[in-house]
Amino acid sequence: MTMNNTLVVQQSNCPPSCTLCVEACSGRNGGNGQAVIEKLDLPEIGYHSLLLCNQCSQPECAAVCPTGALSHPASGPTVLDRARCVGCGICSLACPYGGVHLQAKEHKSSKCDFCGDAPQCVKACPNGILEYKKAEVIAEHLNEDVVSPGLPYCAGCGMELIDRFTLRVLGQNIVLFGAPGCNVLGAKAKIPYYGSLMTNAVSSATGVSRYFKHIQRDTICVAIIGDGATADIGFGALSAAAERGERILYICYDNEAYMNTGIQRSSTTPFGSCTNTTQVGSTGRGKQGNAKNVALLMAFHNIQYVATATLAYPEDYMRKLLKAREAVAEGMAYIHVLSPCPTGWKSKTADTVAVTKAAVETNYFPLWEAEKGDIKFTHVVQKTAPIEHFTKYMERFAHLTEMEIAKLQKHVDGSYEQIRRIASTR
Amino acid sequence: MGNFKHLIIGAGPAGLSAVQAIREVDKTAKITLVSKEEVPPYSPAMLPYVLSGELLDADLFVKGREMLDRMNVSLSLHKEVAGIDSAAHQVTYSNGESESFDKLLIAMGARPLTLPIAYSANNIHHFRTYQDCERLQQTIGKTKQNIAICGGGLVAVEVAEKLCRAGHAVTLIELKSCLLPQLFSAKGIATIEDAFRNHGVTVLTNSTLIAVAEAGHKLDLTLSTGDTLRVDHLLFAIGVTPNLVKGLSAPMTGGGLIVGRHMETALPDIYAAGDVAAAFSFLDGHNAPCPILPEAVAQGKVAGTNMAGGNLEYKGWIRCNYLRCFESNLFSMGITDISAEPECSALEYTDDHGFLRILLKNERIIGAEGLNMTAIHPGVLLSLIRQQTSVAKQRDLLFTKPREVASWLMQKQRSAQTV
Repeated sequence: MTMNNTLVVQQSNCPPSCTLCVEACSGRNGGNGQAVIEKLDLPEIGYHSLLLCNQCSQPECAAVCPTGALSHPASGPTVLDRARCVGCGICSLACPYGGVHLQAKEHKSSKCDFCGDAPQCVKACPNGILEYKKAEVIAEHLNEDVVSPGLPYCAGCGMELIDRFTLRVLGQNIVLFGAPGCNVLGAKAKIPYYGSLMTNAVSSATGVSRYFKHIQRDTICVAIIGDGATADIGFGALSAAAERGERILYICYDNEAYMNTGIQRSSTTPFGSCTNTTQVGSTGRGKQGNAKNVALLMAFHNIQYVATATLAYPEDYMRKLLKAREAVAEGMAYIHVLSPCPTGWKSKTADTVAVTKAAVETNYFPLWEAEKGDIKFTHVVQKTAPIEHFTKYMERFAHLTEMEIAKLQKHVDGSYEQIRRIASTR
Repeated sequence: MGNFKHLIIGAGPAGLSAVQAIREVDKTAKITLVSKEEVPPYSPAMLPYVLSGELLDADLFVKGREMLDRMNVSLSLHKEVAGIDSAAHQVTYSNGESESFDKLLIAMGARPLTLPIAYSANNIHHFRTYQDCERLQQTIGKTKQNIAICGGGLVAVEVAEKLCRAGHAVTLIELKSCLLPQLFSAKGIATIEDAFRNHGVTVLTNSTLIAVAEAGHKLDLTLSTGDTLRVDHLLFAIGVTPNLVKGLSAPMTGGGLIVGRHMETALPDIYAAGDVAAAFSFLDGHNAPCPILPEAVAQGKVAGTNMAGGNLEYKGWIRCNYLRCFESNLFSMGITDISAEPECSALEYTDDHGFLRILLKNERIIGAEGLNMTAIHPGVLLSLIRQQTSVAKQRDLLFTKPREVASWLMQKQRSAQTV
């Protein structure tokens, strides 16, 4: 499997006159004083950012290099072997990112090689703008996809992506618990599945989990259940199981309504959302109350592990699944995953992951984790986008007036502030 | 898929790129690479560096060798195609052998143009193949020689520079009024011509060779201007034309095989890529050969992907070049001649070392040229041409801060393309 690490520039908001990364790069070993990272300062436009190698997985520079001086190994960055470089410069014509540099004096080209495995620019950046992201984590932890290749789910279903990813990470040594809803995986996955009622998935899981402990079997009881059963119908049993500290890994896929039965509101349906039981018409303006913060409520049970996660941040979700799997040895783990439903949210089927990214970027769905009630953010948004950046994707919000949007914005901000106040800093 | 057979004629960059593209998708189909030369695959663009010793012979062949090892390809050398029977899916070689194919890629590249002067001598050369380069090296030897180069294009200029650096007395004979016509602007070319003259190279423009006569071991050259020249060696570098595919009746233009968006010729299961093909231009859609390395690689990739059952469309070629000549370096891309495009305007940025010219039409970049502008990334400009990025709002800023603005426009375009 190809492992591609990369340098990430968090946002284009470098301090205008800072060139610390460029200086660190020029000073690196074998650098000959010429940096392979460049600062771009355009105060006229308010753009201060960096020009650097894109770390392509299919690099054009290596494809055109006539001597093979540029090569892309199975793992690691594309590297330039100076001994084989004749300075023909064709690589600099082929690279659209400005990642290849023509040496001013010598007949050679140069490019970023991560300084081995420890980029100097990242060390030198005092603002956390440059990050060295290592890709091994996801690649190492993805097992076989145990979910059937053909499924009767709607095109663009977020829950399907969550199922596949979750089960690939967790592996096959699990028993799955489900409730009526969209996610009845009974005949659709190569793992044992218990279909219970909406009231008692955790109760069923309790019995099996305790039995496994009794016979010293390390198989984990996992529940992947929707918001209807989690937040409403089954909340009592869920809270009770949390209070007892049952060894269950509970994952709520939140599509913010009872979707399977035809889009009825649940207690996680947000303010303003149009559903078939909160309609928009001559009197109705969609749901009038705010959503319940189930993840926060679960955190207050002080169980082993609670987290929020979503599709646009798969490494974050993977880390949380792995932590939850560890935590379940001692007690209960709960992960709340935002799961877009194009059918119910009236969004484009191709936008599913984009919607989750917007949800995080607007602080509508902040990413955090809590170990025994100690909440910490796992992702902090540098420049929060206004809530319209999220609502624009979905027709369930299309009817909202400016005042209603402002009300939703106020709730989102307040809800985020509520978490921020109690969260520990890292 | 183990019995499916891809036959690729020509072991240059286009052919190798096609091999890589096929193997990306299909690990088991048979691939046979056929070359009329006797050496392993290599890139002709590297030959000037072999001539100068900057690139060792062995290093010329490394990339090709590595690729063949990794990709399970059978290589047939010293085999020349005599005919192609498209209906029967058969190729016949000059030694009488024949071979069948499921998919055929014609990537046999180009050959040097010649003048209609009757000659044949040990000291008259071309510079296209490894054999040409080896012969030139061996016959020139180590002592200072008097060498005339007929031609003024990229190959002529590169070889002239290498020979001059090696200490030989070089004369360039160019038909047009300047070196590198149509590739760079007059301003850029003047710098190159000056550099040559400063290094002792004689540059004769508005001249061509009309007769060659042997004079012992030397050659007597008669030029169109009436001048005569006595030299030890004569090298023709007056351009290339696509190699002819004997007995293949397929539409051609500019000497090259016309191909569509998938690099397919008019004949089923037969593709063409590289210097031999006449693909369409990105800027105005007309078909013509574009014999440059990056397009050979791109075309090979498209052809190979489609031969293996994929569906990849070629985006069209944009002529681009990068030349290092003595202490100068020069790049150009797209349209560089403002008089050729009446509706376009030019931005020019100058500093102590050189200049950057950007040609705009309808507020979009259609061409660029840079002399001693190593800080500007030509690939970024090329990507702006391809993306047809509008520079309407930043025209003035592009003029004063071309590196930053071009990079910013490229990044903005890229992030707009992702979600």
